[in-house]
Order: sequence, then structure tokens, then C-alpha cells
Amino acid sequence: MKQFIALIKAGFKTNSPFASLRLRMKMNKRDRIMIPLLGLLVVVAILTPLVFLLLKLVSNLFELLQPIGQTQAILTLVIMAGQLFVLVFGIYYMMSVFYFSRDLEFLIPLPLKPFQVVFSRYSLILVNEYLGLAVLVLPVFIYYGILKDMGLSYWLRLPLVYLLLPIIPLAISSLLVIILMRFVNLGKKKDALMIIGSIFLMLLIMVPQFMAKPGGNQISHDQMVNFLAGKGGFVNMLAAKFPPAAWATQALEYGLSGGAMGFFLNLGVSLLLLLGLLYAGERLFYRGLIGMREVGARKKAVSAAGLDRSVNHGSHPVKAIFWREFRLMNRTPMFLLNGIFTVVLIPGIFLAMFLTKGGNDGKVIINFMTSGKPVIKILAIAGFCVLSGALNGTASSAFSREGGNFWISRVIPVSYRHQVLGKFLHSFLVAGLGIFLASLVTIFMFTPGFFELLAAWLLALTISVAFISIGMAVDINRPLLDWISPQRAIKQNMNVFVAMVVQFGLLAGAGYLGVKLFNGGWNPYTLLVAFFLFFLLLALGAITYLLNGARRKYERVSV
Amino acid sequence: MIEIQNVSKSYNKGEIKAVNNLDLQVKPGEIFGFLGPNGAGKTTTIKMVVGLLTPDKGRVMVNGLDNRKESLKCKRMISYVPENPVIYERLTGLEYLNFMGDVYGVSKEQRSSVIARWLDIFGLGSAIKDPIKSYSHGMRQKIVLLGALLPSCDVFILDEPMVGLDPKSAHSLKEIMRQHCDQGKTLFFSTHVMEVAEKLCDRIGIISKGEMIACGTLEDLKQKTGESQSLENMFLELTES
Repeated sequence: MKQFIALIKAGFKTNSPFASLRLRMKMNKRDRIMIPLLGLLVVVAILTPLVFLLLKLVSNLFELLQPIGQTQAILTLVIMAGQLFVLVFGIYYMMSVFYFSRDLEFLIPLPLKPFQVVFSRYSLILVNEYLGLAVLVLPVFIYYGILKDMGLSYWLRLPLVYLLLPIIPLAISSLLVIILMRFVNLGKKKDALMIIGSIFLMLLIMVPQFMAKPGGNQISHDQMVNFLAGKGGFVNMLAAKFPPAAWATQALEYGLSGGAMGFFLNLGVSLLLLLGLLYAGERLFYRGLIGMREVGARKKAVSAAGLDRSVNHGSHPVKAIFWREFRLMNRTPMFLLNGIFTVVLIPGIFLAMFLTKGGNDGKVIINFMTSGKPVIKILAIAGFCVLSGALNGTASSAFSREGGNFWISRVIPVSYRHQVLGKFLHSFLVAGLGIFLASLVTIFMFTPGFFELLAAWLLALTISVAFISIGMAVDINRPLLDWISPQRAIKQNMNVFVAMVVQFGLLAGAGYLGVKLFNGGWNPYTLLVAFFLFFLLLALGAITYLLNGARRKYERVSV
Repeated sequence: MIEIQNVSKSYNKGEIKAVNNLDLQVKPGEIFGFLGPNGAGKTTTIKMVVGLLTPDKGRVMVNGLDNRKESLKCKRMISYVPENPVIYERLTGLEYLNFMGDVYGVSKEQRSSVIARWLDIFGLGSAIKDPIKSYSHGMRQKIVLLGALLPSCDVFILDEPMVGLDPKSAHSLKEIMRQHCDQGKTLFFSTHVMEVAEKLCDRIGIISKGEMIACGTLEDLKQKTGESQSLENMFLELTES
């Protein structure tokens, strides 16, 4: 048991982003202030409005369902949403911690049972899921209890139901992943598997949204009631297909008087699935894991002529750094998904939205809003281009992505300015691709004229230069180099988040000021030029700061 | 030539003194072996020489240039092989070598001849177009060594270079080291393999708790310790006293 507890502790220390933040706070004085401050910012700026919106929705649904005595449909709906969230993301997370985490190499030779490793990883993700559900589900449970004026027993049942909620879907995800990895020989193609898996996940989230699109028509009151609480309605249909949501609803709504069966069924199935997971872990996990450790290699001898052809004539160091960044980013699935994949995805989503049923309505609305107002059209196109191209983690993880290889950048005889320039050009290429694709989509969405498009491009490129420089400046100040999973370098990197907050803040600030000045009687064209000049100055300032400070910043990083 | 002048380095705000007032000169054409127990300050010293760490006090000169003030010029003169061969796993071996060739400004002819020669000696020919992540520890060590050999720098700095190498490759490396110095270049390396230091080095320095406790030729060390036996015995006597 001691071994097992040590294993869980080690798992949390190496894989949990919170542990890494705690360590940073311990090591760095500035982080002791910055991290809690950013945490507060996340809660105030992102989570609070989200929860507020969710509770508003619950309040509306409650009013709708109270007259027919079917308010428990709200619980079923939110439980199902929460469990689906755990099930779908669980596959992704489990694959990551079961098979892609580098620390597993140290665990295999240790005298641990495979089921212990499996359960420790399961616990790690389970805790993360509880945190996710604390935002999505817990406020609804509490608000529902208040709205319905539930008695004491409801509040006693609530934590039990909440704690049981993610166990079944996460156990199902884990079992699926373990079985898939054992019986499908994907060992040598794990990178492709990661990319395909992520695209599949994205489609799984997006497709139902397009399918469920109401075609621009308002849903009637009766349709909504039937959707939520009708016998053949969507919620009940899903609940019939995935009973744990119905059991949890019964347990929470009715307690011992009518929901005991639901509670015990939930508990029993949870335990059974956990036992099944431990059994499958013991039998299958290591076999699948060892298969995954194999790496594809051709092991084919190269002829002298072939070698001579493959040896470069020599490139400028900036070009060499650029190609290094390009190759490393695009060959690491987690980096690819957060770079080029994102800049292709965003215009893709918008295009898909416009190609589906409601798209024409959207196009009509956009044309109505922008017709006769070319400046608004230019700003909208530029905004969309920036959103697609420059608001991703490519620049703000440019240094963190080097991880343990950062020593190479410190010893090679390439000036830090040149290294920064190589990285900047790479981020600019990614942004440029996003801007180009977004432009193609905007031609369809906004039908702009040539000069409108040109003005929008100029503005978007200028903003992108500023945002890339800001992102890189944030990252070079405190690069996150001690990661063991590439996910930490980009997805769980605080620098990426901070850069995004700054970038969105700048856009929001400029937008707010623009509206104020417009209402104050400024000519829209003067405003557009002012916008452009502001971001041009910002871009020049940011890139100068980045290039001039490169040496000092690089040398400050301990390797 | 490497001159380490009164260099000190500490960690944890001075709590841990890694290197204390170190003075050392490695002349051109010399192989200098740097020995010491674990945690003695060998890697810290090497990192200060190659510019990965900044000394708290003192300075490091490479061929007469201060490695902080003229860092870029110094880097052009140094080839460095770290203790742990952590390199770009997602590049192929050849891409890594081309990258090193590009950043050191090595001509195509020199690249082709150095790569062809050492691929054969290191037995990497069949893996050179494979991603580095498919390499074993020893293969990674060899590709880093090969990358360091490409530019033919004046100063060669190796931190535990024999770790992970098979006997044939270790033998070849020793030959390279000797040839390198015969051309008048400087070689500074750390090792725990006493036999290698004994056979290869022109001079040996022994560091313990951040301070140089002995430095000189093998004969000098024998005189100092009064030992007529192996370097291993001398090392043990010096570091345990």
C-alpha cells in the first residue's frame, strides 16, 4: 500500500500542472505573486461569466419545466453533459498518461504491479475530472437545490452523487484505451494515432453542433419541453442509452425514498468497472505499453553518393534555425495540433458553419451589418484573420518547446538575435498560413472588394507581428524547459495563457477605445488609420524589445 | 588555449559552493583530464567554459578572448559534448548534422568527408536517416560527438565522453582526441575512467568540493602523493583525505 501511495504522489508531482505551479512558486519569488494573480484572473474573467451563463440557462429551463413537474430533466441533462465530457476527453487524457508520458519508462522496471500503475494514472485524471466537473456540474447541482428549495438530505446526497459521477465514464474510457492499445498494433505509428485521435475528438465535438443546428428557426416552447422531458425526447432517449445519468438523477432527486436503487446501481456498476479496469490493466497494460515504446526506424545503409546528396551546401544560421523550428514543431503531434492544425481548424470551422443550413442566414446578417460600412468590414476581416493566424501558442511557446535541448541554443555560435529572428519567422509563417486561409473564407463570408481585403491583410499582418513578438517576449522571460510531456510545453504552459490574455486584452482595449472615439464623432477612416498606426508602433516596439533583449534573456536561462 | 581565472560559482544564493576560486590553464596541443568525485564541480566548470553558466566571480578566456564579452567568437572556437546527449529527437541524424554544419558554417566538402569517415567508424551508417528518437544512448552520444567533430574547432570540450560508447567507438574516440591535439588544438575533458585519463592525458586536474586539489602530469601527481601506483589509488588518497 505504501508503494502504491508513493506511486500516486509521484504521478501527481510529475504530471499535474498544479504541482509544477507549486514548484515554480517555491523556487521563484515573482511567481509567488504572479501565479495566484493569474489564477484569480482566470476565475474572475473566464470561469465566473461561464458559470453565470450556465446558471441563467438553468433558471430559464427551470421556469419552463416546473409547471409540468419535470425539473429533474435539468439534472439528467447536466449529468449527461458532464459524463459525456469525461468519457470523450477521458479517451484523450488516458491515452496521454497511459502511453505517451515519458516517465512510464522509469515505472516499467520498478517492482510494481501493472494494475497499480493503471490505477495511479486513473486517479490522476479522476482528480482533474473532478475539477472540470466542479465548474460544469457542481454549480448546477447547488443552484437547482436552491431553486427547488431542497431539504437537508439533498445536500447530503449531493457530494456522494458528485463523487461517483466521473468514475463510470472514465473507467469506460480507460478500458477502451487499454484494449485498443493491446490489440491494435499501432506501436510504431503512435504519432499518427495521436493526430488522428485528436481530429476525431474535434469532429465528435463539432459535428453534433452542426447537425443539431435549428436552421435559423426559433425552437418552440413545446419542442423544447419535449426535447428535455418528453418520453421520446432527446434527453430521455440518451438517458435510456446511458443509464448511469438516469441513476444519478434518481439518487440526487429522490434520495432513499425513490432513488436508493439508482444510487446503489451507480455505486455497484462503478465498483465493477473499476475492478474490470484493474483486471484489464494487470493483464493487458504492460503488453500494450511495451509495444508502444518501439520506434519506427528504417535501418537502411546510405551509399556514399546518397550521403553526398543529402549533405547541405550550407545555409544562413537564421534559415537553419527556421527549419529546425519548422521540423520540430510539425513532427511533434502535440505541437502540430496547437500550431498549424489550429490555424487550419479555425477557418475550417467557420467555413463549415457557413456551408451548413444556417450559413446563408449568417451570411445575410454579416452582409447586412457590414454593407455600406467598409471600415467595419475591414476590421471584421482583419479580426478574423488575427484570430485564425496569430492567437495560438506557436510564438508563446517558441522557447519552451526546446525543453531539454535548450543547451544547444546556448552553445551554438549563432547570435541570439539571429536565433530569435529564426523563431519569429517560423511563428510568422504559421500566422501567415492562418491569415491566408482565413482570407479565403472571408472572401466567401464578407465578399470584400480588393482594397478592403488589402487593407484588412495589412492590418492583420501588423497585428500578427505585434502579437508574435509579445508572445515570444512572454516566453523568453520564463521559458518552461523542464517538461517530460510535450503537452506541458504548449497546452499547460502558463506563458501561452498569459500571452493570450495580453493579446485579447489589447484587442478588447483597442476595440473599446475605437467604439468610444467613433461615438465621439471620429471619422471611421481616421480611426482605421489610427488602429493601424497603433499596432504598427506596438509591433515595432515589441520586435525591437525582443531582438535587443535577446542576449540578456537567453543568458539568464539556467541550463 | 583555455584559461580559467579565479572562477567561483555557487547555487542556492551562495549556500552551495560548486566551484571555489578555480585557476587553471590548458595549453594548445594539450589533453587535459578533469577528474573528481560526483558533485565535485566538474560539470559546473565545463558549463562555465562553454558559456552555459555565468561565473559569480572570475573569468574564462578562450584563445585570449573573454568568453562573456566575446561569447560568439568563443563559441565558434569551441566544440562541446555534454554529459547527457539530449538532442532533437524528432530530427534525423543527418538533419542534426546538417544543422550543426549550418550553424558553424561548415562547407559541404568538409561535412561530406567528416560525416563519411566517422559514420563508418561509429557504425552509424544504417541509422543516419532515422529519427534520433530511435537511437540508443550510445548512438546518441556518437551523433553528438560527430556533430562536435564537424566544424574542426580549436577547443574540444567533452563531459564524460566515454559513457555509453562501445569499446570500438571508445577506442576511436581516444584516437580522435590524440589527433586533435597533435594538430595543436586544445582538449579538455572530464572522466571517471582512470585508465583513460592515465593513458591519454598530458596533464590531469583533480577537483574536490569545488577546489582544485591536485594538478599536473601523472609524474607530478605521483610526486605529490608519494604513490608509485595507479592513478586510481592517487585519486582515492587525494579525494578521501
